[in-house]
Amino acid sequence: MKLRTGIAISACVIFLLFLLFPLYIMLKMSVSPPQEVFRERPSYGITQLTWQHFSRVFDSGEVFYGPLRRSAGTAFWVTALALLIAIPAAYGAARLPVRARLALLFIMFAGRMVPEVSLALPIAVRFMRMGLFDSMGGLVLAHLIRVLPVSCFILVSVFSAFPRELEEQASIDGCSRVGTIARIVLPLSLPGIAVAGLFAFLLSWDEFIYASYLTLAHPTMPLQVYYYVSRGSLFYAATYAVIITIPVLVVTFLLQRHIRPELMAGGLKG
Amino acid sequence: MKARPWQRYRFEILCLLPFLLYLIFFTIVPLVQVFRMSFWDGDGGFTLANMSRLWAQPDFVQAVRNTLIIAIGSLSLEVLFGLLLALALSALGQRGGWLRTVFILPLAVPTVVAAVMMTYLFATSGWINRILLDLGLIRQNIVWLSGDHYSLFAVMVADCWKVTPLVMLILLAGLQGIDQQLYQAAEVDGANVWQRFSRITLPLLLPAITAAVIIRGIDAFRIFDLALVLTGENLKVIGTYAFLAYSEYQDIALSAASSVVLFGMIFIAILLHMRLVGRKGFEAA
Repeated sequence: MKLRTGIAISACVIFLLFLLFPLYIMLKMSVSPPQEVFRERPSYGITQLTWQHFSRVFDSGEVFYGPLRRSAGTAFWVTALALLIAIPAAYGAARLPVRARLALLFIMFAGRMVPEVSLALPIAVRFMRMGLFDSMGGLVLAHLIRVLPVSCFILVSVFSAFPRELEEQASIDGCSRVGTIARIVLPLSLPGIAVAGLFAFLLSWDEFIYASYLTLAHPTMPLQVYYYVSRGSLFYAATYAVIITIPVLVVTFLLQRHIRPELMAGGLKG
Repeated sequence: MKARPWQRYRFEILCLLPFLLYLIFFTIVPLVQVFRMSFWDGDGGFTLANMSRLWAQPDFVQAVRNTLIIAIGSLSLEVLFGLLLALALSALGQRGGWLRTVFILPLAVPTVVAAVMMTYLFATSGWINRILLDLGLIRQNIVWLSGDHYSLFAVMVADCWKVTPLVMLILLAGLQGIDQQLYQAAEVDGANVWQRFSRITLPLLLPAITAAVIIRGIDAFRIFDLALVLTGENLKVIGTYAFLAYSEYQDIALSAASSVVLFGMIFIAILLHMRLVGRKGFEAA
């Protein structure tokens, strides 16, 4: 038993190093002056601290705030629309007979089988004709392709686990179907809905493929990071990367207690 | 008389309608269109010209090979490490709670950011070489990202960093579902650690492993941002090949055809996996 715990702890520690070292290097990069990084043998620690990269990014005006606004706005609308569409859909799926629910989950899953590059191409061609190319509306519509199935998946788990007796009780007491959902089901499912919303936000914030097909003059933050990497601007890339990582890390950390594995099961057990 | 299903479930179906409509217009229709772009010529007839043109490109054949190697390699590593970590965390029980919190952080880190971090590690004067030099394992710097097999390895490591936590989470759920009494019974019967693992844990965990492999396998084939950011055009995978054919060469037919090949590969991989696992499950029964 002692030996097993020892092995378990050392495995965890090794993985912890593997996990944190890259994050640390990125953070170090974003606060190190160039002369410290381009030395023959840069030190492992953070010896010199500078905010010059951050202040230069924050001072760069639309180059920075444009993509930031676009990414944040897109992620906000994607989250709102995803919940608006996925909450009723998942509730409906969860209250259908098991076989119909399984069929729906399979359809959602089959949608994930299609590579994004396959869908992005015809959508880009169509959006160009419709004037949605390089616009936030177009991005929101495209991001929902990858977000909706995941949101539905999580919410089907949430609603399948919701005790039906509570709903029946409410309807006996004279509550309408919609009223029951609004007053009983949704308030009590809030943690699960928050997780679904979090994933919707993350998946849009992180999205790269649709954004690279659908934007040109108005990129999102991930594309901006890629732009700096491909230009070889290491410090800008690191700074942008830190900036887009911090908010999502904070939100995930706050919500992590609710990210339970059962949520990923799609209500298969319920 | 029993009510017809659509009458009985009218409300549920109504709830599902917006989602299903969206799915039709933004998944099924584009999918049909991409097939049409790759198999239809200008006059509306069926053609294999794009496909044969595609397979004649050495770059594309290379991309197919790279995609297969990366998908299989990173998936195996992720399942292996994910399983190890899930076992370690469940062995630690309550004490490992905070570790779980830290371990799932990469899930929230944008893929592009993961790729950026890896460029600092795998750059020729980067930290991996630095550590290997300091440990005395290599004499001179390895060129990781030029597009050869070192680059394949770098992309796999990057993918592992981002995805192992998800695999771990799925397997952890599977482990929690195993009845602890089975282990006590096995211990009473004198089974050793390996026997308990191979006779109880592994068979009972198989559904979770299958789920992880399928969910992750699909994404592994679709690898895109990591390869693009990390290696640029040095190392092409099918996803980036399709993108570059569209954005740099404006060759829509070629881009469509290559993405259809990717779709076909994912489809076949899932069928194969279902076949194999299905048979194993059958043998176990």
